[in-house]
Order: sequence, then C-alpha cells, then structure tokens
Amino acid sequence: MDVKASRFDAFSIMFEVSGIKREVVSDRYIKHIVSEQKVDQKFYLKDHLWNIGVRCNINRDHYKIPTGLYQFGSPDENSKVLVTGNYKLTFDYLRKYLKKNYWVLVIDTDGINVWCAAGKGRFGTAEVIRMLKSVEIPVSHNEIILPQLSGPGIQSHLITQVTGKKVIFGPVRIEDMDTFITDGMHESMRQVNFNLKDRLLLLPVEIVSSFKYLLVALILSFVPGLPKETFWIFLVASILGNVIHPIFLPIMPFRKFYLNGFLLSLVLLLFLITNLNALGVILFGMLYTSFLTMSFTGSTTFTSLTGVKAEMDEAVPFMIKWGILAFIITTINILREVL
Amino acid sequence: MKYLDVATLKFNQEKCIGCKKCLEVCPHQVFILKNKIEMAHKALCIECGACQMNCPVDAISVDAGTGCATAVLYTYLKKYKFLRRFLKGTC
Ligand code: SF4
Ligand code: SF4
Repeated sequence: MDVKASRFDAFSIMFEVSGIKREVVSDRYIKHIVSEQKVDQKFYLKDHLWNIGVRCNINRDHYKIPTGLYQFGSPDENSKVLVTGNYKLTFDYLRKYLKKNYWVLVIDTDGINVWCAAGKGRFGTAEVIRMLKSVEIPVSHNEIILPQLSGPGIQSHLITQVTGKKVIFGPVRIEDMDTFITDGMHESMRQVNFNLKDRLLLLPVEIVSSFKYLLVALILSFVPGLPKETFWIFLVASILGNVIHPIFLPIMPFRKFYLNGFLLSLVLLLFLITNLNALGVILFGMLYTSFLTMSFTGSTTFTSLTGVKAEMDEAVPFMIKWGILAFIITTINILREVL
Repeated sequence: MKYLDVATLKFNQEKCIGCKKCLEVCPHQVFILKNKIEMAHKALCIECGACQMNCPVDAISVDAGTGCATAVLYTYLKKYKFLRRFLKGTC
C-alpha cells in the first residue's frame, strides 16, 4: 500500500487511532442547537447574529460545534451517513438544507470549513478513521458520504481498507444532497461555481480587514506635507480592490489578478484634478489596489498554486519598483509642499 | 473563469485502472471518461490534490497546494520572523 506521507503519516494513525494528539486551540463550542444526538434545525436570533459576525471576520476562528454523531430528522438503520467538519457555518448549511433523515458524523476540523481543512490535512483520512473507530453508527449498510470538497485531504481507498466503509463523495453543495440521495449524481452537482452570490458573501471579510489600513490613511491625511486627500485616495483604492474587482471578476481583461488591479486603479488618477501634489500617494494607492486584487487569488475557486507563484514572480519585483518610485515621488511632493 | 495554464498535473494513462475516483473528486472536471480516462482540461486544474490523493494506483501526480497569494507571501516571510506579524494567514 502506498501512502502519501507529505500530508500525514497514515500508518502511525492506523496503529494509534485512539492515542492521537491534537492541538487544542479553543474549547469554546456552540451548543444550543444540539442536545445529545438531536439537532435542532430551527434558526434562532443568536445563530443569525453569530453568523453575521463570523462573515465579518469577528470570532471567525474557533466557531465550532462538538464532534460526534448527530441525527437529522429521525434516521433509522437505512438512513445515509454523512461526514462533515465541525465548523458552525458548515453545520448551519446542513441544518438549513437537509430535509430528509440522516446520520451526520461531525469530525474535528478545528472549526475551519471543509475545503480549507482538507487542504491543510485537517479534514483528513486520519481524522475520519479516528471518528469512525470511536463512534458506533447504528446502520445496516456500510456506506459513508463525504463532502466532495474534502477530497484533497482524503485517501478514500485507505479509509475503506482500514474501516471497511465504502466512501462516496457527495455533491459540492449541501443543497443538492436530498436530490442526490433520491435521484443520484448529476454532473452539475460536482461543479464548483464562483457566481456573484458566492463572491458577494466574501465581501464583508475583505472590507472589514481593510479598516485598519484606512485608519492609518486617515491619520496620515493630517500629517503636514501629505495631501489631505490621502484618506479618500485609500478609501477609493480599497473599494476598487475589495468590492469592484470581486464583483466584476468574470469580465476583467487580464488573467493575472495584479494587472487587473493596476488597470482599475487608474481611476485614482482622477484625484490629480484636485491636487497635483497627490501623485506620490496616488501611486501608493494604485499599489494597494493591485495588492488587494492579487490577494483575492486566495478567495477564488479557480487559481492554482503554481499559477499564483508564476504571477507573483512577475508581480512582486514590479510592485517593489513601483513602491520605490511612489516613495521618491511622495518625498518630492512633500518637499514641494513644505518648502 | 480561467487562470494561468501552468498546473503541475501529470497523468500516466498506462497505470490507470479506470476506477473513476478522479472523476468523482475533481472540482473542475479536469478528467473525463471516453474509452479510457483522459486528462481533458488540464488548464482548469487548481492543484488541489484530490485526484492524486484518491487514485489508488498513483496514476496521477500534482504538486498540491492552495492558490493563495497571501499564503505564498506568508510562507516566504516566515523566514523573517519580525515581518511575520504583518501578514495573517487567511483560511
Ligand atoms: S488537482 Fe484537483 S483540480 Fe487538479 S485535476 Fe486533481 S482534483 Fe482536479
Ligand atoms: S483515480 Fe487513478 S486509477 Fe482511478 S480512474 Fe482516476 S487515474 Fe485511473
């Protein structure tokens, strides 16, 4: 048997399933929606408030529910067994969209979503095996359904070898699960999308994370010698990078994200109309927009690591030169202002 | 939406036993089944590694990772401890 050891050492796990050591990051769990095995599929004000907070990057880590086996509806021995991570947002999708009866095995992914956890090996073969060994699932079949997006962390043939369970990869979106169970797999259920709604849901985190830079820009606006437009330049730069770019991503002309950023940032040159001495800061603003668009590679669903590295090999030296130029011009601008 | 066509994905058709796991796990339908399994849309590969992990006979290889510029910067800056605090890893 061949084991891809780069992610984890599956052998040691097989022999030491119970004695596994995990890094405990936080012990805070969201418990009000589960009692024993039963899951409450009703949404409370508390859920909505927390979810909004998490979407805005507040308390985003450690937003998790206890691991274990749960009942959705009233499952019996023929009901399907789903495996998922312990991120509360993920679990809420299940609570919202599962209308049939299921057993749901929640494994420890350290409160991160399925895709990111799988990439890090957290939603991994070892954890699935560990949970399958420690929990008795009262069903008469031996199939388990894993989220398709857990694929990067899973070696399904190893799970089958160790536990005897047949691994099926379910649809990408949990909305499709009920249909998948009754009508089987449809091509579209395997397809990862990145439509406007997906992109809009990402906006709040991006926007909130730019607040601290805007605060710095606000303070800089009052520094003598720097243009008083500094804050507005950075505000517009941030909107271009954090809002306009994600929304219009499909119609952006370049494949390399940072080029799209520089293209969008040409808008900032309009500030020259009010103040020629703002050029240096504008160049910094353009750099910021470009950097934001490049960072957005991490949020999309279609970029590859080799691709991102190739883009960065080109972008980073260019940005450094741009930054030096911006610095020189800003210095000249300040000197002209002050003298 | 397409990104740069530089993915490190390699497929060895001779090893393939046709179990179709790669069709099942790939989020971008890079592999298709004609008479045999074929790597039809390599340009769409995001190097997630799911196919490689789940291929029981190692017919597929790919340098898996996440296409995230922040993560790349972060790994790079890890060498310089004092710079690290400026960048927080996403996801
Ligand atoms: S690495 Fe991921 S995206 Fe690329 S072919 Fe394999 S499963 Fe598909
Ligand atoms: S997973 Fe491997 S063996 Fe199975 S069909 Fe794909 S390439 Fe062939």
